[in-house]
Amino acid sequence: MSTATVSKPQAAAAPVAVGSLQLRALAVVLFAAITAHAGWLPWTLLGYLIAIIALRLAWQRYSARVPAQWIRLPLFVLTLALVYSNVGSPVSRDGGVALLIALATLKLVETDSVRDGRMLIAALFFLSMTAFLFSQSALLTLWVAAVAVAAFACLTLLRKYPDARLLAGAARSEVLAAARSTARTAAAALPLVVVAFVFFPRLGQPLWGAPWDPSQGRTGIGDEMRPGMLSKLWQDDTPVFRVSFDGETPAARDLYWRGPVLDRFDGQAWTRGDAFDRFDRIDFRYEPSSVVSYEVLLEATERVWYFPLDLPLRAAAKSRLLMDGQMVTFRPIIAPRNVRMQSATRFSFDANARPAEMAFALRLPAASNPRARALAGGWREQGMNDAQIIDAALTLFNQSFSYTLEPPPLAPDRSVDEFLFDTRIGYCEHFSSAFTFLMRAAGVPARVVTGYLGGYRNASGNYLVVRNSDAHAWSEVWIAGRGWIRVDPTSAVAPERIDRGSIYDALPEAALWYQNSWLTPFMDRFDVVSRWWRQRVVDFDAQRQRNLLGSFGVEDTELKDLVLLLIISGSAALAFGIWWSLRGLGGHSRDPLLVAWRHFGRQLERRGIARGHHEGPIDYSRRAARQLPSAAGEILQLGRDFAQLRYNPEHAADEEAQRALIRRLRRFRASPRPAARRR
Amino acid sequence: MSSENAELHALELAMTQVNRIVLGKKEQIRLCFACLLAGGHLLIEDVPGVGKTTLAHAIAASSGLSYQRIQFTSDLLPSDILGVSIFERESASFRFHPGPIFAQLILADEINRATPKTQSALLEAMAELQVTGDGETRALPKPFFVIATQNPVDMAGTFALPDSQLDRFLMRLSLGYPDAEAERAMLGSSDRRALLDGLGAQLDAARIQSLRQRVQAVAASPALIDYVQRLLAASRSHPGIRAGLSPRAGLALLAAARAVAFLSARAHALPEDVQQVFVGVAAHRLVPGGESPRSRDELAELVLKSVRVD
Repeated sequence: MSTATVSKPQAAAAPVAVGSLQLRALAVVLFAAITAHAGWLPWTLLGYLIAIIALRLAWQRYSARVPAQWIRLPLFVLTLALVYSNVGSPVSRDGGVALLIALATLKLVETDSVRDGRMLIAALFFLSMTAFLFSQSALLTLWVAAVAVAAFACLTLLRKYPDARLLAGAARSEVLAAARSTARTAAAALPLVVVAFVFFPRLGQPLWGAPWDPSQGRTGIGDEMRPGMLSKLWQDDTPVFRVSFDGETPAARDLYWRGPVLDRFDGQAWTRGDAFDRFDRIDFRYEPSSVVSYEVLLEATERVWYFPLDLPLRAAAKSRLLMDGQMVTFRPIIAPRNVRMQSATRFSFDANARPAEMAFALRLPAASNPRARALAGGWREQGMNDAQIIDAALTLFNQSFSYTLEPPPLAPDRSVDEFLFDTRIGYCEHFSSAFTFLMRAAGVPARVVTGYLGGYRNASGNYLVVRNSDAHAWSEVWIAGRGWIRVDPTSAVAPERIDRGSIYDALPEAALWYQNSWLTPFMDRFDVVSRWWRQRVVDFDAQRQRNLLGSFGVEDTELKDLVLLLIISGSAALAFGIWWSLRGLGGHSRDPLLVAWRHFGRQLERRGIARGHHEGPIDYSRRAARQLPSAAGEILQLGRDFAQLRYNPEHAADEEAQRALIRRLRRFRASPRPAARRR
Repeated sequence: MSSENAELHALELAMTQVNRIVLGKKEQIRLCFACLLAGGHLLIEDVPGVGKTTLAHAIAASSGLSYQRIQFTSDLLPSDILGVSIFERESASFRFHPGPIFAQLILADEINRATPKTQSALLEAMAELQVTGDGETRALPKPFFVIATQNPVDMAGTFALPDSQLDRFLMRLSLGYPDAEAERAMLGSSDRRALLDGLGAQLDAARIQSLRQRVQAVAASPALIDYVQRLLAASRSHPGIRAGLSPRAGLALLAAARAVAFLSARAHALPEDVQQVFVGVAAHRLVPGGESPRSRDELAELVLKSVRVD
């Protein structure tokens, strides 16, 4: 047989063209899915993608055909270039997701058939889920749920081929109908969601945040401090952690949350030294009356520090305490976690330090900042002791320095000199850096401690929110016999920053527009919800799952028990959902009068008088009355009245009568009264 | 007594009268009157000898309408029904001699014995309420009510009415054999036909027209219309039915249900009314199909049972 006889396969039927309403719906869902990523996506890229969506819609008005190849190809290249330049390599969490978003947007550009639209929706489902790799907040979850509902509604719209009705301005009702049916389906799926949430076997460590990308650091406190780094944080009001104290909240001036301790200065930046000895070998005494217990709900900082109150008694879970009082975790914190801690606010720390360590706390690069070095050397030459030198430095700050959120830039290699003698205006990092430098130059062991100061008291939830804007840097000096003492040079310049615990009290202009306004109570409530969400939903791990099931008497759940529970309760929830969503089908309307009438029928059914589904009200009530003579009068009357209200248009509008009849139908009981009572 | 009540009273008297002639067929007689009041035509189908013609006569006599009986035979021609134009020598012109169809009530006896050509002459006149011949259109009197009888089609020497023509009849009823008691009573008394002569006209054309208007005013609520629509839809999707009910059938159902509601002294129609008339109105419009065809009446019952009443 020759190949000539083999006919070419029949060309597939022409794809069904997508209607303009459907394209608009797709664009809306795409837009919504992209905005789920607005929290991390660079603004330029976000704006560019939204502009492409808008242009695609504008194009649709101009032509029903997709833009030509010679437009699409350069657009593709341009988009890829923008993704790469804005986010970086696609082989990373951010780059990969950004690429996916960009490709989905380009897919909309070339979408002209219903099939393309379906593919786009499928991609959007995945795309909106990837938003959880970046954040797990309650608001985002709500938004993604809304996107999913919208995507399903869009699928419903895509199912209908564009027809004359859509063109004739029935778009609104079509969209409404799609939204209604999808919302109903989504509501029917809720029990299944709850069941899956409770019973789905949990991993010890949640999946989100997993592709952690060390090169894409988050803003926040790190293991390095150079001038200008902390002051950049003051307008970043991202919560870092939330604290609820078991008892009274300590005074604001004691709320120093200890983070990285920086004891090495290279002339430009303060960095972490090599203090990796164990804390419990250090001489540490505290006043028992000053011990506070508290629970910290830490956000995913992608760093290794816990921020205990200065100074923690012992290491919290999954962390160790270093000899300089930093509490570090073994792995970066990539998922929110809940940690219990205990700290003492009155303590003596490392009173008997070894000379070698002290030498480390005195090191300075040889030739840096000569003027500062000379100033400090002068104090020592005047015969001042350590305490007097500290006082001298603080007095200097107090008399001729001022505090600002926007410090002028300093030359990197002469930053301390410039700050001390020229600009004399700075943020906490400048003061602590200069102060520590001066101390070391004068022969007083000193180091920089970074962390957070204070926090915002959420009155609605009675807890403290500590944000990036609360970042702070202070100093510690070592005085023989007393150990490390916290000295906060900022307090000499702006005492209100320390006493009130809030940067916004120190510098009212720092308050963002929504702070200290009528919105504050709402922001507080919202933060309470966010915290609840973090603790109860995002943090629901294997252990909590076990505890929850344990409280219902299901002990020692193993994986197969969980799977069994999941299958059983999942099937029940699914059955409920199906029943619920099919309930409205087959013409079972939710007219309250009809519902009451069916209730009446069920009452009679208990006495064996079931209504045939094709039986009219009069026929039924007559038959029931014959079989149930004791209630015949009532049954006949109810049947007549129902028929009247339902089938006589003159009476149907009488809502008062309807309500009365509904009450009577609901009150009807076919079960025989106890004989004793009848007497 | 107001004129409205007088009309109702006369209607009841007429029905009582017919019930005295045709014994034990109360339900069918009620439907016959419903058909008359709904303004539709009636087809009575049954084996010979169960009183089809007697029933038609009784209704005719009680209704007080002008009355013509046409016995259909295989050699009956259209002009025998409609009338002919005959050339008159005196006036040197054609003069139309109206046929028996120009009466208010026509009894078309054994309609299926006539040829299709003759049948359609009648049926077209029924549909259009006018007769066109020799380029002239002549309106039929009002009210115009046809009661046709036919033998079941498996009898020899008959021409079955086409499905499309059956549609012209609002209702098709069959009388069935009388029950034992009624049959005994009938056998024991004198000839039913003789009794016909003694019947007085209880109604007249004006009263029937007025009653028809009142029937049309009977309310059909959205819920009832919904029910009727679901019946139509069910007939179209039923596996045993090749062709379901048309929208016209739906209108016929509503009209007949209104008439039955009116006969029950109600100002609004109920699903029960629709159910009473459903087999009569719908069965002859259904076209059975499928593997093992059921009878039309059976199918109509099935459709009725399959649709839920809300």
